[in-house]
Amino acid sequence: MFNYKKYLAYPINIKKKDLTMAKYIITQYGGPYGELGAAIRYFNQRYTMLDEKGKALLTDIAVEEFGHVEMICTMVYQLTKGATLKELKEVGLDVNYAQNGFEMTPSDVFGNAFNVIGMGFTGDVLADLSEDMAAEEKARATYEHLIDLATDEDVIQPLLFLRQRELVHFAKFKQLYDYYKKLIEDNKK
Amino acid sequence: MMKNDSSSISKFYDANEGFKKGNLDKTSYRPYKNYQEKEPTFINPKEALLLFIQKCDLAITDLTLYLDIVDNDESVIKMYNFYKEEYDKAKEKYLKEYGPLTSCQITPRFTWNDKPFPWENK
Repeated sequence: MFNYKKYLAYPINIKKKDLTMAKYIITQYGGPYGELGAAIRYFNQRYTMLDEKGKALLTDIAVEEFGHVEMICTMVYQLTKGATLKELKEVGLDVNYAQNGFEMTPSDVFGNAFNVIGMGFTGDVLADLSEDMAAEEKARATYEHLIDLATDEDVIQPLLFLRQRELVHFAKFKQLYDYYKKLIEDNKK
Repeated sequence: MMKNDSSSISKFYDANEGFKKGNLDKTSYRPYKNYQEKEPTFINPKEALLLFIQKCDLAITDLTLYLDIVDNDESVIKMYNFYKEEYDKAKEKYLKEYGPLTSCQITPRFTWNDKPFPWENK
């Protein structure tokens, strides 16, 4: 079960409103390489891991990803706080207002709603973990694009932190993949 | 903070350095272009204590990810226990001075719904 911690994984205190940046960052909420997708992917895959090591690792990374969802939402929230309708119109966020008011929705950068189509649920640990490694790399690449687009240090620093987490997770999934691959091959002998 | 001096724990940055980098695991750390990670700032003792808690939290997270796969590494278990103790002590101190950070902590009056919630700007 879960127990909420009333603090972020990394401090976020954005003082400058930037609706365009918010529009970009939302993709890490509900986009194809976003944090919500990562959390659900690992949370779902953990039931078919081969042993306790895999179950532990996927559980721990899934939980961490939910904390990253919170970081992304915090960034979008702070970047858009106090926006006027005129400002929303200027960047095309008026369509969000029409449907959802000032509430955010998990979507990609084009406004497509979050979905799990194409997510790697195969019941095959080697296929699943390969998908997880790819997912971490794609998220890392996305964070690099977002960092390239950002100009405010208050935005860049949390993005650098989140990018780095993708590197750790990739390394861990790779380690588990190699260990399972050997385990499976040894069992065939 | 603990010094990295034995063989296995030399794979890790300490909690201060690791938090700044976003990664305690030296082997997977890779900077991006010429971007410099900066130490997060704090304006008062409350924020300083919370930052310390966040640092311990990340240290525990990264050492847990390591131990999930390699669960018999004594020096890393020791490092894990060190940060877990620091974390528990700091959380207790925060509770006494400022209020609860998790809903399971005992408080004389109910302050869980006190501000700030983490997503609010300072």
